[in-house]
Amino acid sequence: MKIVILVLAFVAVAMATECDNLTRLKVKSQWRRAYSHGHDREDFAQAIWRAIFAQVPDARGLFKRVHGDDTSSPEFEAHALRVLAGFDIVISILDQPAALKAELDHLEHQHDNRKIPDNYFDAFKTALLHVLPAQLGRCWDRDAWSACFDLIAHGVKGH
Amino acid sequence: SFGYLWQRQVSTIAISVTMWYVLLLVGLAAAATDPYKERGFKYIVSNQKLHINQLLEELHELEEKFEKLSPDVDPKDVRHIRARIHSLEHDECPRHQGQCGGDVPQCINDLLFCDGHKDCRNGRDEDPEVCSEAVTHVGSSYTGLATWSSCEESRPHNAVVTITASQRKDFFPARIWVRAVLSFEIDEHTHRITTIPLRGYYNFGRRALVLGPERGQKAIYGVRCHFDLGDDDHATCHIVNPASLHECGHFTATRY
Repeated sequence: MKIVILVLAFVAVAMATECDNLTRLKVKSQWRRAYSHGHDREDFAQAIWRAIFAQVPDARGLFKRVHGDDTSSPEFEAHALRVLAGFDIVISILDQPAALKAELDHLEHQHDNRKIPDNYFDAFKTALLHVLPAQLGRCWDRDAWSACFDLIAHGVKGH
Repeated sequence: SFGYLWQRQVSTIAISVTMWYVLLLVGLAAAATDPYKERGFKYIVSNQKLHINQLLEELHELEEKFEKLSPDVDPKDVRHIRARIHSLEHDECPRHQGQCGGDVPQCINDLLFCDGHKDCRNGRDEDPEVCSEAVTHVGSSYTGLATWSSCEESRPHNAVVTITASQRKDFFPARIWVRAVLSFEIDEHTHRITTIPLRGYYNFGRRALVLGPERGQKAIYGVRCHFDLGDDDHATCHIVNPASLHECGHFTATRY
C-alpha cells in the first residue's frame, strides 16, 4: 500500500511540468515551428503585441519611443521583431545553461531601469500562450511553455 | 355694421335652402327612371363582370403554365457553386493566410482576422459576415458520411462533430477556442459508437475548424473542417492523425 502511495506521489510530482531538459527541447522545437519567417513572422509579432496592449493598455506608455500607439507603424514592427529576436535567442539556448545565463543577464540589464510591473510580464505570457497555439494549430504543450516562460521572465526581471 | 352682418347671414341661408331643393329634385328624377333603361344598365354591368372572369381564367391558365416551368435556382445553390469555382481558381492564399475577398484579391495573416483592427485594404477582415461566430455555437453538429482511406477498417458510416463549448478571449479575438466531440459508429450490427473528445479553435481567416485530442486523452484523431462551401452550414471535413495530419478519412458535413 505504501509503495502504491509512493508511486502515486512520484507520478504527481513528475506530472507537474517543470522547465527541465526534455521540456526545454520540446519548447525549442515548437518555437521553431511557430516563429516561422518573412511576413508571417511580422504578423505573428503583431498579433502578440496587440494581445498584450489589449490586456494592459497603459503599457503603450513604455513604447512611446518606438511608436507604441500604432502597432502597425514600421517603427513598432521593427521593435516587435527585435523583441521576438531576443526571445528567439533565449529559446534557442535553453539547453545551454551557461549561454542562457549570459543572455538572461544581458536582457535583465536592458530592462532593469525601465520599471516594468510584473503584470506586464504576465500580459506578455498570456498573449504568447494564446497566439502560439493559434499559430501552431496542433501539437503544443501549454504546461511546458508556461514553465519555461516563467523561467525566462524570472531571468529578465531579476527577481 | 350689424346690419351688414345680418344681411350676409340671410343670404347664406337662402343659398343653402336653394341647394337642398335642387338635390331633392335630382333624387325624385332618379326614382322615376325607366325600368327598361335600368335593366339595360345591369345587363352591361354583368357582361363586364363575365369579361373580367374570362380574363381571370386566362391569367390563371398562364400562371399554371408558368408554374410548370423549372423554378429559379436557390440562392444557396448559387453560393455553393460560386464557392466551389472559387476554390478551383487557385487564388488560394499561402499557409497561415486568409483571403480578404472583394474586387481586389489580397491575402493577410489569419492571426489578424476579426481582431478589431482593419488589416485588409477593403476592411473585409472585420466584416460581420466574415466574423460570424455561427460555426462555433454550442450544440452545432456537423454530420456526413465518412469514408476511410486508412486508420480505420470500416465501411462508410456517419460521423458527427458536435461543439460542446466555445470561448473567445477579449484580448485575442482572432480565434474562438472550442471543445467538441467526434463520434461515429464502429459496429453496424451492435450500433457501438465511439466518442472522442476534442479541443481546438475556429480560424476566421481560413474558415477552418481545427480540432485535436483533448488534454490527457490518447492522441487518436484530429478533425479539420473547412467551411469552404459559401456558408456556415456546410464544410469539407478530414479526420486526421493529430501529429502528422495524415488523412484517415473524410466527409462532407452538413449542420444539423
